[in-house]
Amino acid sequence: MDYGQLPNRVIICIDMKSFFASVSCVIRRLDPLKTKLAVVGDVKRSGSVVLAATPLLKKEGIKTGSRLFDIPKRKDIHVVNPSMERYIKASNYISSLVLQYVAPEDFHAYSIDELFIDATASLHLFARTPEELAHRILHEIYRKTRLTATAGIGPNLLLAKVSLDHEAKHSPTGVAYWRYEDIPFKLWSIHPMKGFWGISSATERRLNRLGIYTIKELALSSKEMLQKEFGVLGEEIHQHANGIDFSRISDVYIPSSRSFGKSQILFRDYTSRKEVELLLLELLDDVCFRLRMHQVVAQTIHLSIGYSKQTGGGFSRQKKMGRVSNLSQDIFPYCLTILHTHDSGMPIRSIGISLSNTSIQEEEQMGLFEDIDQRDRAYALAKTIDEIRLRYGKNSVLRASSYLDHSTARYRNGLIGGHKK
Amino acid sequence: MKKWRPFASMPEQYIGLQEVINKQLEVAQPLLTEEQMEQINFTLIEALYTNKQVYLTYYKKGFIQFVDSLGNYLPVIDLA
Repeated sequence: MDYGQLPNRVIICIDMKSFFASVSCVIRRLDPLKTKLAVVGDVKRSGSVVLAATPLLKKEGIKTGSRLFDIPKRKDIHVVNPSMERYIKASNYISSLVLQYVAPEDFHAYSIDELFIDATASLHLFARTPEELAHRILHEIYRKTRLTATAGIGPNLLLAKVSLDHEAKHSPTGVAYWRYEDIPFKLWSIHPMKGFWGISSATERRLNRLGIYTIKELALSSKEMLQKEFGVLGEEIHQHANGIDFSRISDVYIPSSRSFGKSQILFRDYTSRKEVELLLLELLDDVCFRLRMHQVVAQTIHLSIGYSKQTGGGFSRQKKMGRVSNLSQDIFPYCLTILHTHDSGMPIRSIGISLSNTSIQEEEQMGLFEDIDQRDRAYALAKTIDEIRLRYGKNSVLRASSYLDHSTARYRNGLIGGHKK
Repeated sequence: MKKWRPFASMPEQYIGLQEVINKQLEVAQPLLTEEQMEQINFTLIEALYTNKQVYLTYYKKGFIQFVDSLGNYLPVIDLA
């Protein structure tokens, strides 16, 4: 393989160790590395899911996805509610520290606790080697927040990410640097394949059926065969197995149209369809609010319903609407049509709505026989309500139906990312 | 960067991040010495009486702002 033609940049991928759990330690003046702490959805519900656990607690077998009742009740184990606002604040503060080393164009926030930087242009200002820069950044983060981070370095984003996942996270120094020449030794020894970035267990099974059991076999297999099985994705995983990735952080990907959605898993099974309709309306209100904030209108509605565990299954259908809109009252009838066409009547446990095919609000076309004044009034009303909610909080103006017992709007408005603020 | 698109489950994070980036562009409020202020004052008075054009910049909320001499006008409150 001739790697001379491939991008050879200094990409660093930084990951915060047990981020939620560590921040929860720090705000309680506990040392994240010496404390056993778990963040759970709600400490009052024994079936609550563990969102994060500190490394010491993970050693006792408690990990993300465990349940509250799995955690032994011991004095040395702290169990706390999430503090989503603090996590976001901490994440943004860490970003501000890293942004001292690269321009915003060379910075990419991949998730709340993971980020990439392209240090090719600014490395010489701060350090002699990429490792030195990585250590310097990790040290600064630790000094200012008491949070531990790890860093993977590579000539492209993929190698930075996999060196982080497969070496840096387990290494005592917290830093790993994989170059193109390391691929046969390091990248190809990753096992099982599903641990590799971008390969799910489903993809792994499909690869097994093609007779591919290792990353090395994947790298050396024919591109055409993979393309036949996986389409465009086939070429991509073939490149990844060879450690190749042409992405550049400064090439911002702008999707031609964004979609906006929200989903929730309900606290109990809902059998009454009247109740489900109300929950859907509340969900739709929220998504429409976001559409209006971005001044866009949507053409397509997508509804997903999941039935309770006993029944299993569910459906996910979309419908194109007669006119584009961002008003709940326009979209809700379509939502109901989808629900009642495909619903099997089983108890419902999860609901989700997404609005897609969006365009800028100003470009909206009026119908020939529509009452323009009435539309303007509807928009003005929505705008006024939005402004009140912006100024006085989401619970300041609500539908009267949100005061019914089975409503979830008032509770969910107090959450960020579905968890306690 | 399509395949590295974040799954932005919490829009709040990205709003805060944009604020951090915008904040970086801000500059500290310039401090003028007595003399500099006097100098500016003389220039303005001269321009006012000789009807000459001046080019104005001012500081507001972290940024140096420019006065568009065609469209905008800058309200001056205290001439004394």
